[in-house]
Amino acid sequence: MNKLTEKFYPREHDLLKLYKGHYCPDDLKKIDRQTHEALKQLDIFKSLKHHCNIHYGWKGFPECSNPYKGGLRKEFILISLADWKASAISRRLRSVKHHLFYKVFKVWKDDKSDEKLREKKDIKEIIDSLKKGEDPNIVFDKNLAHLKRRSEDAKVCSFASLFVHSDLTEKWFNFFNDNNDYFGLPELISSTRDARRNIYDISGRKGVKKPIFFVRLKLNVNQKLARISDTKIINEVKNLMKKIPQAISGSQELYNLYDEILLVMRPNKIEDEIEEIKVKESLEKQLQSIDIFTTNYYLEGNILKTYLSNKKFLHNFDELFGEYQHSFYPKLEEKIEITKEDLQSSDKDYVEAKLAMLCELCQLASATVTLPKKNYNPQTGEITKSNVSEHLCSSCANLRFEQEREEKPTGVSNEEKGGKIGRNIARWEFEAEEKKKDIKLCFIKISLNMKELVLVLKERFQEEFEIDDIGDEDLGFSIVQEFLSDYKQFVDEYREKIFESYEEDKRINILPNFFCLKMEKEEGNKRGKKIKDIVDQFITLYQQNFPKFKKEKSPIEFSLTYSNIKYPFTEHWRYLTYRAKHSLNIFAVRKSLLEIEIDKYHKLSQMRIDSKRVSSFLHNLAKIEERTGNRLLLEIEVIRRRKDLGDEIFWPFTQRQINVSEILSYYKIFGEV
Amino acid sequence: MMEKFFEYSFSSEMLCIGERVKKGTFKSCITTIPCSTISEALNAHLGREDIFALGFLDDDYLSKIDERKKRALMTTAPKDSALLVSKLPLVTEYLVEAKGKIFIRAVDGLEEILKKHPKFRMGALKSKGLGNCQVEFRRVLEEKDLKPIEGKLKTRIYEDKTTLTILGIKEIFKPIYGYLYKRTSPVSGYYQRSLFEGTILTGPKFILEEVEM
Repeated sequence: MNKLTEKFYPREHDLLKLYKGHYCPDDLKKIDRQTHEALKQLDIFKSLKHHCNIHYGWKGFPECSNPYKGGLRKEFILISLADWKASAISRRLRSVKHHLFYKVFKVWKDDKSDEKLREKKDIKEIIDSLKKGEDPNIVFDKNLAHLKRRSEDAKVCSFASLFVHSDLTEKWFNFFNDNNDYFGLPELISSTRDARRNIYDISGRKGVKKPIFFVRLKLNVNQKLARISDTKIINEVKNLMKKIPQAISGSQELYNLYDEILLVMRPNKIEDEIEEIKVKESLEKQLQSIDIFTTNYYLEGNILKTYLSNKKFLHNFDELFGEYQHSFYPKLEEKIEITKEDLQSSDKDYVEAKLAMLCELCQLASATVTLPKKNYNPQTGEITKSNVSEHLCSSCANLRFEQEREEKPTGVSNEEKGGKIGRNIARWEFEAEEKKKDIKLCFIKISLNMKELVLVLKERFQEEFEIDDIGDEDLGFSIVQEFLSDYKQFVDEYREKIFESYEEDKRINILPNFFCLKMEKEEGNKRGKKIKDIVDQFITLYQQNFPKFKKEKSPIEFSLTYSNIKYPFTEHWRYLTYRAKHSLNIFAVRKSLLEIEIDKYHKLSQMRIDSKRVSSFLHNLAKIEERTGNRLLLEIEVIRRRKDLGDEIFWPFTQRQINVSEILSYYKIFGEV
Repeated sequence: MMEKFFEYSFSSEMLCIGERVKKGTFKSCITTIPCSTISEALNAHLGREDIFALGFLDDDYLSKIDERKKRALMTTAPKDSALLVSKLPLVTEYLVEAKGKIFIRAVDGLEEILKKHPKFRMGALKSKGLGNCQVEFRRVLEEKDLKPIEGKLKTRIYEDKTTLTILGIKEIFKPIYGYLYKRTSPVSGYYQRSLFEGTILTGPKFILEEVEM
């Protein structure tokens, strides 16, 4: 085979784990000679032999054929290294003295007594497909269910799936291969010894240290959004997230989560940039080169220097997922002012904008464009100018132009483009005003607290496997990645479940984890009950997907805001972006706030507020609160009335498990119309 | 050597320190006391130009601001003075029963005059009754309050050499940027890049919430 045309399969390197002969494919000579002969002829065979690159010549592998005949291309050594790095992370936690699992064990849902976890399954059809000459990429994609079921290491440490491991291996391979100018592997490797020396050099042999950096970045929308159509800025988040790894040279994305990304990168200039502060400066310059990284956004981040040696790798993992230590902004002027030259311009709109000085939308750049506010009339389809002007910077002005384009009626469904936001909201506002309809808006956002996730996962491992001393680094990326995969699936499932009850013109999908619902007044179906259904569905699905997470503490945060459509969107946005201190965060704008964990919610749900007696009592209690604001009076009233209302309703209160404020907030949000 | 500062308690029944008007219809209220706003207000009140002050609202007030409904809305309809016709209604958010602390750099005569005249006006919609503020002297800040620590900023300050020197700010780790207006004359000024609440820096303890770096 011509070495120049050889193909590499980092993602597919472990497919033999679904059959036999994974550790040395040449062992198939004894087990299944015909398969061995067939695989040997294929491009993928050298990638399947990634362990052989390191153990060829050892006594324990008598069948192993020499992978170094004529020299082995460096890319195959990089597959070995990538495999090693991807699995070294996920194999810190050993389950061998407790249990062996063939199926990947997920501490958030699995039970170690479940015998199905130990059922071994050989998937010979995968190998048969390869033997027939099918493209290994396609074979991999067609068998995702098997890859997601099978643990990466069934013998010793089964907490990451073969799928996650394969995905991570490919990412590490890309990182090493794209940056070989830094890692310095020669094009051809001649022997096992040569391979080991090169790998140890990369890992950081004594005196030869090659640092790498993990960079975790979270994208924030900078401004306090005032109009719902401004949510176009939020829509752009996913485009911006795609551009970040492309803009940072020498980087590779390890995971992304809607508005958060984790990258591994090499320093650009080893002499200058081996310290975090220099890396930060270099990162900022590269981020500022992204065209859509405008003053509407800023990033928070952590930068962690590490080495590829086993001892040092991920030794400071907890810093990566702790509080963000850095921020990154587009270029900002030190002063924004109007000059004499500006005043002399013949462009009146320009002068008017310069007099305003600061862009009204982002408030971080000089205003240079005056735009009359435009109103979309959903009844006639007309767009008219109003007397009110906005003074914007050029980026924000472009945003307005794009919004206008999207707000024009078209025949195309805009849900995919995200362009329905402005039109739908305008239509709903029109309905509310012209047709005197009582319309409420409900925003739902689901987010993941990564710091809390690491804590909760550690606790689960400690409980499930009685492992006393677990560091954050023992979780690594594989287990986190495994969880993120299930989390994303959960978010998609929940969103689709909610959308089943709301037709397309009654909902807006802003981001996969952030959407808006239109609620109209209906006979016999109070909106309080609708809100409760939305919350209940979240809890049901959460408990189905993550049954082992405690109800007292969850890393997944559910936020819901709810108000009349006339209320400024900025009140919703402010809550949704700056709160989420508990698992359930429900804010009926200007009415009531309920921030509690799931177990408390269950206790409050026992109160049966649909019962007329209880409802009537709580209604009066709310009046007392409004008049007096005195918590003690409220508590006395509850104790006084509990006997005739029924002790079983109020026992969580008398047992001090919930307080009277929570009772009232619950009633105001779910009990009233 | 750090400048001398006085601490005052601060209160206001209805206060709006507003952000820029959004699309002419809604003006939201911030929940801290920027150095630009309080310095300007005190300069106007005392007829001076050299007051430097900054402040923030109490943690207890802020943590329960929504629960206790301390944010309210006022609708006004400014008229076009030529046509005597109302423009679009303007909804302004304001804080109710705001409580906090103000820190003022010591200047000659400050204590006495503020003792005699502790009430002043600050913020937006003064003509509608908002912005009546009151301060009460608490203490002179001690060395332990001025001691540099790493922490999160609780207020908003200009990011210029003068301000950073007055406050003894040495290192800024994680800036949260914004712009504050700086008056250069009665009729003109410019926007200075500034550090907003949440910025992590090394500075005097009294304006920071301590964090572990």
